[in-house]
Amino acid sequence: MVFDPDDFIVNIGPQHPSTHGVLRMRTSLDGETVKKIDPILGYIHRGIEKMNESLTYPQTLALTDRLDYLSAHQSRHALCMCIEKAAGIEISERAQYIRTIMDELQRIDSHLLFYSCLAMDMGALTPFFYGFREREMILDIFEETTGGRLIQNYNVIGGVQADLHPDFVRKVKDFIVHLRGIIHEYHDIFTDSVIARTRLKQIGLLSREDAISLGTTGGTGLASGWANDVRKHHPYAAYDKVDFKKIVYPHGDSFDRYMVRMDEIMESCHIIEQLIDNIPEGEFKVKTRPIIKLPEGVFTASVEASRGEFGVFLISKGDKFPYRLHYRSTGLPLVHAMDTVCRGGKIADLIAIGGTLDFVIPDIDR
Amino acid sequence: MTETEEKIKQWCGAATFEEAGETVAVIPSSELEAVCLRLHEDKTDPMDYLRDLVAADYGDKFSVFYQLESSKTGARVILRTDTEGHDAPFLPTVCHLWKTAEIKEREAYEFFGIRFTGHPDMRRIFLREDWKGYPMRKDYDMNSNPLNMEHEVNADVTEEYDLKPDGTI
Amino acid sequence: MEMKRKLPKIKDMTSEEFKNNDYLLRMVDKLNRDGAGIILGTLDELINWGRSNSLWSLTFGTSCCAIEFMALGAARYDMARFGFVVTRNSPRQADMIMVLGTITYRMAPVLKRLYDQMAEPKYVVAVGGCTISGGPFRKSYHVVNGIDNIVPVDVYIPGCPPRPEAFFYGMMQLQRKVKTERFLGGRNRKEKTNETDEKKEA
Repeated sequence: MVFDPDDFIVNIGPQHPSTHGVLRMRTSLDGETVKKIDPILGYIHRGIEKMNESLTYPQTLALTDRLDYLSAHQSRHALCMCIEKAAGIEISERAQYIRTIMDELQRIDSHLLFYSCLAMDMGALTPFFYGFREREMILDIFEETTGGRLIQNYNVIGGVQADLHPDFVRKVKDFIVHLRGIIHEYHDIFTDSVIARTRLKQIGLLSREDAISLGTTGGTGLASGWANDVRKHHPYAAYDKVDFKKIVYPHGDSFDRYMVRMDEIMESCHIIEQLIDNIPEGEFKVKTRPIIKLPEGVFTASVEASRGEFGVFLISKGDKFPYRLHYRSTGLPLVHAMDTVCRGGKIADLIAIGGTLDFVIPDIDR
Repeated sequence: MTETEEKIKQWCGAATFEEAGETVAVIPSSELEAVCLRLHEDKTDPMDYLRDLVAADYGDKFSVFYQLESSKTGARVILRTDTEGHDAPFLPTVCHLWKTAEIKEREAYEFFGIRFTGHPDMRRIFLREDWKGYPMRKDYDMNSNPLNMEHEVNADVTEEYDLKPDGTI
Repeated sequence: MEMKRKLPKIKDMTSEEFKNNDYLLRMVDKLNRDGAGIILGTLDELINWGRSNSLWSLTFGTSCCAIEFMALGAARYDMARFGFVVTRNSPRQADMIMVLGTITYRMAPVLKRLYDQMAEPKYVVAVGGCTISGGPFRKSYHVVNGIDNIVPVDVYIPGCPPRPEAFFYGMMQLQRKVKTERFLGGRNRKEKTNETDEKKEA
């Protein structure tokens, strides 16, 4: 039974001013209290997994950028890692460092957008412009090296597509200094405001057992007390050479989910500072064969994307096309968690909780 | 073989291991529930985080891969179950152990047609409610569902399947 | 023997700065055949000037292009200086719909319904490769290959995703199109019906 016949059902439709994408939620209400939510996905289902079965391995990389476009580098990194592990290709140290730095810059970019959109959803319009101002600086850095602002096509099988721009190191250092000096503005205007605090504290509680059972990784899990960072448990690329704190908050409410991501921005700055001066020399791309055929078997890889654990699952039968290429999306458990978290709350809380859970719908629908 | 795989071998004698790429433990579908329960309740590495549930079509049978991880120690294991045959496939559900399986099993049903017995809400999630066929099967015709501009009607009641001695209802 | 055709004179947006002027020439030819009076002509110019400088769009972003649209609204590329100050949330209050992102088979009836709910005069801008022809997802079983199968489109903006400067070029083309229309009397707003009628007769 999804809904009783005498429930009052309201449609929070696919077109709405909130910014996560096209998510439709059928909500059964009792006055203003939410009784049950039934999310309906698939309005941006593009059939990527079916298309992958008729594309060669380098061609499948092109579509991963468009899955979760705010962790474009990280998703592509996962697929490249999986194919390289299967084919036995070793990439150079320089490429590892570059991939890690680009991943962390992408994480800062994504969290700044999270901040802007959360503030806009809740009605505060000024922080939107603050977040985008810093984000434009990161996009400038990306554009000099990779050529694109949102869709960069940078990681390839064997390394990265092009070497770093000569100004890259200087610009990244300037950006980090600028960000550290200006992050207090973000907290002054939003975190310390009494309206934000009342709307976010003690709202949308998610317990630790529920978080683990629902599989909500990333910021949501960290805010519920579950330390689930893939970078710590199964390190990859250059993450075993840097040290960074685990950020875990105990309460599991919306305010903790928000604070986790603001702290993650600072941790990412710290990681970049440790790596930026020590990029080793070397080649940025290893020569691979023109047609890549993987041996038979089952291969997996996972990275810590901005929103959680992004995994790739590949079954190959020795051909140049994958037999089954599946992505473990970061957002699907989060949308499923909306039902558990929002029960008993009000509709206005639903919007705030959806903003703090931070999912991106094209990643879910693939 | 890691510790977890040793334990699986102890609990279920019929388990085999395939070593191509990652190590996959193949478990017959009749023992799946018991093995999953014991992995979930294990004392040293409780496997309480179901990373992913992936279905695949192998021509004459369907397989479902379960990727599990322990939140305490970080140990990982991959299980695989096969259905018997290609028509009306079904498997037992695991959503009483891991809540995330509810939505992942719906995805496996939608793309492959595998029904999970005991699942409370077995219906389509990504495609329209009146879509015919199961897209990810290898014998799916890409032109079989043209653009339909009629609005779909969303169901309020869904089906739940239970296991009869010879099949499902 | 080719006569030099007189390009349409649009206030503040000279034809030499834009590249694709052919469609405007065709529109102006059709209008001139019917003729326009002096009083209605000047009133038209005034109303069209006001309309084109305040086109408010509907918030309709499905996928990646929507993030570039948000960057367009932010401080560096400021679209408010062109007149697109706010985006309306309800289709009944919006002037135009910018379709940003891939349209799938499940979303197509929703888009048609939103387009039907908008009040005349309304415009559609197709942004990004996915809406023009299906883009990188053309071979999929669930993606509409081009939204001109569903709604009539006025301006296409190619790119994946288009740069903010390309967005502005497209939006200015739309403004030029609005400025040459005839608002009072006459049938030029149903431009597409005229063409399809002629095609059916031919």
